[in-house]
Amino acid sequence: MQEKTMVKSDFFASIILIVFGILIVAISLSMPTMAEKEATIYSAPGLVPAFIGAVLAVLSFFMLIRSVARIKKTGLPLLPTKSSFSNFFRDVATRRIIITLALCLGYALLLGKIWFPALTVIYIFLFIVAFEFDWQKSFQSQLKKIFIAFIIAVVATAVIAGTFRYVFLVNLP
Amino acid sequence: MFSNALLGFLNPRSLFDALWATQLGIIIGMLPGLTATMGVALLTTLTFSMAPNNAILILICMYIGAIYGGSRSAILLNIPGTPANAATTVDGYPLAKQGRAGEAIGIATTGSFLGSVIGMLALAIFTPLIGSVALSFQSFEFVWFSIFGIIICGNLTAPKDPLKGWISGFLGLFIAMIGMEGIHAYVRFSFGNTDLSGGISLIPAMVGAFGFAEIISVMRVEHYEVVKTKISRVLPRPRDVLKYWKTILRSGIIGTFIGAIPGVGEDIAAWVSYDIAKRSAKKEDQEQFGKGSIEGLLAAETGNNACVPGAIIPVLTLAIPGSAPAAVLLGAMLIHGVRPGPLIMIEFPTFIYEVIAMVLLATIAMFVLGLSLVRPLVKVLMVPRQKLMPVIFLLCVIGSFALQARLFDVLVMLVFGILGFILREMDYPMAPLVLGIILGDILDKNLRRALILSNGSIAPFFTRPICLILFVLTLLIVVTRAKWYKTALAKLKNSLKRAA
Repeated sequence: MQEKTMVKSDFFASIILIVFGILIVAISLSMPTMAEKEATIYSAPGLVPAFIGAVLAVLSFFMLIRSVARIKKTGLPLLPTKSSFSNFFRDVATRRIIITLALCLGYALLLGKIWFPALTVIYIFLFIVAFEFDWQKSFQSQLKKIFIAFIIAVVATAVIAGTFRYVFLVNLP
Repeated sequence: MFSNALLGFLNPRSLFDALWATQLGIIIGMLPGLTATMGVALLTTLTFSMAPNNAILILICMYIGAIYGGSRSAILLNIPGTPANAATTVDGYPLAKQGRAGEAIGIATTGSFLGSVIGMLALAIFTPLIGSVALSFQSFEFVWFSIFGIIICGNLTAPKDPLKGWISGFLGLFIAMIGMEGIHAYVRFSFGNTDLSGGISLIPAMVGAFGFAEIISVMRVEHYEVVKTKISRVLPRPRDVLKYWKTILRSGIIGTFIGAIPGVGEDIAAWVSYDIAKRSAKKEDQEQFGKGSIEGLLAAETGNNACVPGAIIPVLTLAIPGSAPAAVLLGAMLIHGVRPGPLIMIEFPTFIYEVIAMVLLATIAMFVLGLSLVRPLVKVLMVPRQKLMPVIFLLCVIGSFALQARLFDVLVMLVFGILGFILREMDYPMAPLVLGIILGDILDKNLRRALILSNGSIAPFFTRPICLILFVLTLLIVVTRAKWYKTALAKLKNSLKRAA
């Protein structure tokens, strides 16, 4: 991440972390102290989380002060502009990350709902095709690529799932 | 005791396990997108049904193999296979571009072997000593050790911005608070969710933070170029290595020492070893650093592999990991019924010697395999990432699910993967987060126990000898990073110069 973007992200991150730290302290203090079980207050379940939340809030506060000073020094606009948003989504790296996340999350969230070997073959196949298929070329000219992707998906699923299930006796989703 | 332990492993089954696990570790270490932590975590799942000694031997071989294996891609691709090999790219890749890839691989293998031997000797000497000191640790000492661990880990893994390292560490401590606490069995931060009441399991969190996050990072770049060079002689000439015996010894000691510091890990060990080797080199040799210096390459690889046995020292003596893969190793030891910690010399006296024997076998296997099969394994680096990464993600899913047969653990892996990626983009180091997750339970139980023992008084936290040392060290680390301190120190230096 560039230095300018880092300063802004530190500002927003520190605010989120301060709120998070205060929330942790608040929830911890609302936990029972176990006094009704004649336990000492020093054994209260909320004691250590409250300490951690307080330290987190204090450290984040220092980061907030620092990022405010840096933003004043650089004179950067705090909120992202329309052009910076569109540049971000036009960037090839961003698109590759979004495709990777979409495929991996889609696969993981469908686990248990679709038969595991079938889902895995579809996932690996779609992953390879998503990054290798060239939309500017014809479908016919890329049939070999698609076929190889399918073979790799089937073989990889069979070998990995089979090895874990029948050799190492590991449960599969 | 050590010879008995070693004899116990000199059977065909154990030797075969050592060989395949080390080779798999080398391959996993070589591939960008797969880390040593992930390799150890995934193999932990596979070793459930094995005898504890065989299982831990396999994991140690995987660990040592992976830390070494990353040097291959560092030299041939200019991309470290694992973070531990980042310093190797600085001189390894220029050597490959000069047509000396084989020589670089041979030097890296020899440096890794020697580093691992130095670390192993330190493991043998210091583990029983530290173990006996650790017996005097009570709750007060463990509280300060947990806090000190987070502070020093954050300081060393985020040298430009330790504040982010400390925030990462305390976030990890908070994550450890989720679930049932150990004194009253009260469920914290679950908000009525049954899965959360069981807490966040370490291995899915680590597979996510070091596996899935790495996959996302790797996929953002289209492809990597393998250096087009003929790999000729790999076996190094002894004189080429012995010439730098001081560097090797120094880097080995540095790597071992850094490994013993909680949570810091092999990447810092490699960089510190490299940096000190550069500063200590003769002026005419210093210019070679960054352009294909054999000494630089040796320093980096000796340091990172020496860190592995070093990281195992606190695992055995204090049940606190010296690095991320050591954290997974600790988890695996607990799964297999071994309880590392101060009582290990009493409860499992032979285990330490068995671990030393395992490290020795893994080191020899790494050296032998590292110098052979070089040319065939280079082809592994040619596999396009869009074909490799979905398979690695599949391993992440199976590895996370297999531990407790819960889809919730897969969700944990996903969340930690995305969180790990975002934190990395914002320059928050992952090592303190992981260390925090492990130290959280230790801090929680010991802080409350200590306060109960002292009836709420905080005096023992500052008056007991070891507590006082740890408190002063923690304070020193925090204060010396503060801006006002640096300004005051600079002013003092200037006024002393003027006075002189």
